Amino acid sequence: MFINLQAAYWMIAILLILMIIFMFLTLSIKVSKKISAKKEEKCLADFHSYLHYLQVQLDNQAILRPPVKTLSPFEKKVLQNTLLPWVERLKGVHREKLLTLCEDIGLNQYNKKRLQSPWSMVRLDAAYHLGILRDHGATSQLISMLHRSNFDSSVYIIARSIAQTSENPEEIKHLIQYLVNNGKQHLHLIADISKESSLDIRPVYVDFLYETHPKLNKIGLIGLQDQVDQELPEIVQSFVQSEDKETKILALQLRMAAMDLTEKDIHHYLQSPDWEIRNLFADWIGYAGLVQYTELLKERMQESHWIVARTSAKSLARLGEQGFEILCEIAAGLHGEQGKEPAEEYIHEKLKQTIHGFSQVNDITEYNHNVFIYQKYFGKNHELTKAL
Amino acid sequence: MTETRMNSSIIQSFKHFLHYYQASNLPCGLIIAHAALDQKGIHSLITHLEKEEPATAFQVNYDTEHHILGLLLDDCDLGYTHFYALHVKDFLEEKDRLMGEMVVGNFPENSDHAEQMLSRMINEMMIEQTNKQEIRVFDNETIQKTDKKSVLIVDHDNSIVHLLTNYLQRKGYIVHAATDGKHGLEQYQNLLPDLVITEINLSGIGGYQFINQIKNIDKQTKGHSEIMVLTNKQLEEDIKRTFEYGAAEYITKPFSLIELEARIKRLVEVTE
Amino acid sequence: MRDFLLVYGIFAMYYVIVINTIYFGIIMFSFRKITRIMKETFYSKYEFLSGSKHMPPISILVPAFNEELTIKENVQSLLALHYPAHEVIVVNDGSGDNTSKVLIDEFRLNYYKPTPVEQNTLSTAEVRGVYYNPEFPNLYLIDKENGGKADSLNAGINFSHYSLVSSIDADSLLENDALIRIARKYMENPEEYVAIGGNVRIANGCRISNGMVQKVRLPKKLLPMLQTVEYIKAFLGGRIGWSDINGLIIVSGAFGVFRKDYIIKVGGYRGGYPGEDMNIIIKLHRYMLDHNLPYQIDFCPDAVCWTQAPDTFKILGSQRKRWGRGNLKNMLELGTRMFMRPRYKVMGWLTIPYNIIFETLSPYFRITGFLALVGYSLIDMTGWKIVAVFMLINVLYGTLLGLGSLLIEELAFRRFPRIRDYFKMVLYTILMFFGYRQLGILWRFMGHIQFFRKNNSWGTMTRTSWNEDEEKEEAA
Repeated sequence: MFINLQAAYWMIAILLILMIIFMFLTLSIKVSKKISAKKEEKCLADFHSYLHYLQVQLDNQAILRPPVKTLSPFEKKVLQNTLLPWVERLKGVHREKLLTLCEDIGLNQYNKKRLQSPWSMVRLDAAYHLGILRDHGATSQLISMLHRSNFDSSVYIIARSIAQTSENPEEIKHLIQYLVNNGKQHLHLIADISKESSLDIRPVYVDFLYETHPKLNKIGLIGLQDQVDQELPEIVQSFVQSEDKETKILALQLRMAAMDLTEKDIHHYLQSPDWEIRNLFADWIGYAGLVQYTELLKERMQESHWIVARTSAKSLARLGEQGFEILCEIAAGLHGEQGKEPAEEYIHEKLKQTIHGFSQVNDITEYNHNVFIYQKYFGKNHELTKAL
Repeated sequence: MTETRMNSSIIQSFKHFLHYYQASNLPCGLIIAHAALDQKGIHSLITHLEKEEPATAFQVNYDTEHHILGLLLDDCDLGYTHFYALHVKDFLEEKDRLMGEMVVGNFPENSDHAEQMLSRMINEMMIEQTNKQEIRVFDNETIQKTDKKSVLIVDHDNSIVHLLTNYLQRKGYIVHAATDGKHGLEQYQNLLPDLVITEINLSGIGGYQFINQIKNIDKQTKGHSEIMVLTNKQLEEDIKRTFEYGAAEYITKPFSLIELEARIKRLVEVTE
Repeated sequence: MRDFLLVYGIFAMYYVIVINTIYFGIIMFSFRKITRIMKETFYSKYEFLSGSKHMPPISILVPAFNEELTIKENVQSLLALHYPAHEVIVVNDGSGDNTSKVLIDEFRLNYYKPTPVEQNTLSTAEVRGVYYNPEFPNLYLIDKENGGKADSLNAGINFSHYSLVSSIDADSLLENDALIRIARKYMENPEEYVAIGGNVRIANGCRISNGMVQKVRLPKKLLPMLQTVEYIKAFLGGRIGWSDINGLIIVSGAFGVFRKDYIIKVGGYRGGYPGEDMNIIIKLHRYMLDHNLPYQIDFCPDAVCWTQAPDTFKILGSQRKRWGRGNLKNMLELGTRMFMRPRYKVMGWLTIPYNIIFETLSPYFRITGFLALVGYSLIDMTGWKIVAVFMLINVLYGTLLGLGSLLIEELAFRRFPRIRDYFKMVLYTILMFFGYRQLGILWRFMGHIQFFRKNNSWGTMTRTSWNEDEEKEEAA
């Protein structure tokens, strides 16, 4: 028969042993967490006056002094857990001051030592904190750690630290290239990571525009969005013609942000067969307050694509009297049935908004103007006028 | 000011020094503590301090009648005085001699009249006796209590709340805090502060609804608070929208305390 | 006869041991993945990501059927999620109550005519209108004829503006950072992540206010407590492991994020009900494998959605019968076509066979096996020892799996830090094998009976609902 009681007993024994191991592990984690939480609480109580001193004197001219006594690794960790969130949330002189303090406390040394730990979890923890500490000395170690690491989530954690600590734009450039060549991540994730850098990485982004790798081109286009105060490189124009829709839209957005578009361009793109591009431009005209293109939106309001029509109405509502008048025309049906509804919606919205605009004199005149235009089309006795 | 001046021996003993600093316009730090000490104790305190901070010249006096320890530090700023006080506190706590709070002050940072400052420090400490063994920085007397503006901070992030509370209190604001939108609204209704600093990413209700509700409350009470947004949200859409909702400032994190304070100042002073 | 009963009974016992062994293997995969999860849980800057310009916008779809009591708070807390750019689309599936009105009043929404449905979108029951208020630019309410949950999700997909959609049950609560956690994962591989599921936890017993779980506590009542340990086992022990080998068969309908383009490519959610959440995932697997596209369907255990567990036998029973029905339907429609087909890799070799043999068919083996053993014991009392030993093995094995899952919970999440809570959970893990488990199997069996009885009437567009109360009426 296929029953072997002996084997069954063995099985029971093994199961019991495994159960005990699991329970033991779970409980020991629980207990050790409890103990360290208690220890941390006590430690924080000891540091209470000191931390108060830091917060109160943060703004003083003098430097912040580290605690008098020599700190145990545990105490360093507790201080790190308190101080680094402050560092992360501040910028300017106060952050610099806190960073100097962290260095004086020995947090940089402490974490650099842990970077050599045999445990990957500890190494990652150290890398993460060195990034926040902006420890320039750690960059090369972090880079080699990045190259050794498996390509999973931890890569992005290390990459962020490299961006934070690096003092050399070339390193950022290599970092981005490494990520692009090895990972499958969204390009915006890379852009978000490179933004952590305090360096001027505009040249890196511009370089990327001339690379052959389309992903690097896109990163360049994304990165430059935040740096439009300088003239755009010539090559951006060529990406506008790109076959790749994503590249095309990125290039257009960049040119919008830089106000690098002629009336002819805008005319052209508002007629684009791709509704997303029409929508992009309709939205932008209102958003950027480009009153001179108000008339162009009239047409867009009458198109069948719901989203574009609504976006155009929304933009018109943002374009002063002229825009408001066009909305009224459309709502009154002067240009046919298309677009009446969104026009009405935004007229109501606009009137409501301006009447709520508090006591500012500007708003009152604007409101009166709007009501005047409105009555021109709908008459004084229209129910909305009464309601207002 | 306070009529019931306490006549402490510390004032007598430090008087001449303070006059000297005042006359020659040299900075000095003052630390007082409510502590029980004997001659031996004072002596070992002096040894302790000389060992820990050998570069600093200081005077000690102990008022046996009121149990007040007074220290006068030569040529140092407020930051250092405060730090020095940590040494004193460590010592007193270790010997279990500290009976109440400690107050630190600095001439000329806290007051332009050194002797007056000392006597007021002592007065405050002895009148508002507490058991809290903490170090307090003498409140800048140039700010009148009635003038203080009130600020409500709404943010789920405790680090932000701590940092801002301490910082703005030092700058002479009355600070209240809430960690979620609903609680923030309750606080607002009760306090009607001059300024609200809020995150957009709130819990309970979102930041936009929070601002909206504040405006509604304002309408009912005919009051008006300035709203400043301090947020993680970097999107231009959000910036635009918060201004449409009636916020007066938009600052993204991480932020500079100096910039924040400058903007606060502009907002609350303009409204008056 | 006697021997046959014994042999069959023992066979059923082996069957259960095999299930547990496979499950144990899955938990081992979970352990393999857990350090990775811990790293990303602890060291990703969610606070700052939640405001970043670089995160993808997400459309949240909230199908609602007779939810007037809770919908307002839920929408408020969804609007307050910490996320850079998201829209909330509530789809009112022809509710008989005031679901629409509550929202229209609260957010002062205005009516708009529905947009003409474009090509490439999914067919749904008629949409009556869209409600919107520019003051709340991220909120839309779609009012449509009743068509079931899947139909509502399809309507929401048609309307949504963004390329990622998230389906959320109207009666569950998302943690503030749940969406950003899933989105961050998605950003690591946007091409291949076609679906990412969130973790579902039981909110009974927790202190809830302002649409948020304020304090995590274990439930006080028996049934929710049993479900708590059951969910921890299924989600942490099971789904982490299944996702590690890309063999996840379900992303909970309560909370998941999907790529809209692929949902449309597989034809959207299936009309009819229940089991639409499992259905869409199987279809995604099949589509991607059929087209030889690299893909991943993942599970993000740190993105948490809290849900109220049924606390009466009647409601729990109807839920489990529904699950049984859904599982059977999916296995008959899709599972059989992927069963042991090499092209479907892990799905074909492991997930689908596991589900058919050990989930769908389990009531038959277990019930008959149990009856065989009872019959055998009645005839011959001497074999009791063998029977007892095997039963003990099964209970111990099951408990071991529970303990493993609790260890994973402790390693990475620690929602229940108290030691007392741990022992309580262990106790209920064991208790589960004395009654609750058997009841679950019985309910599943009854679900199958319901399925076969009603099979003919299960057309595509029958008026169906997924609400508990409705379900009860139906059953009555």
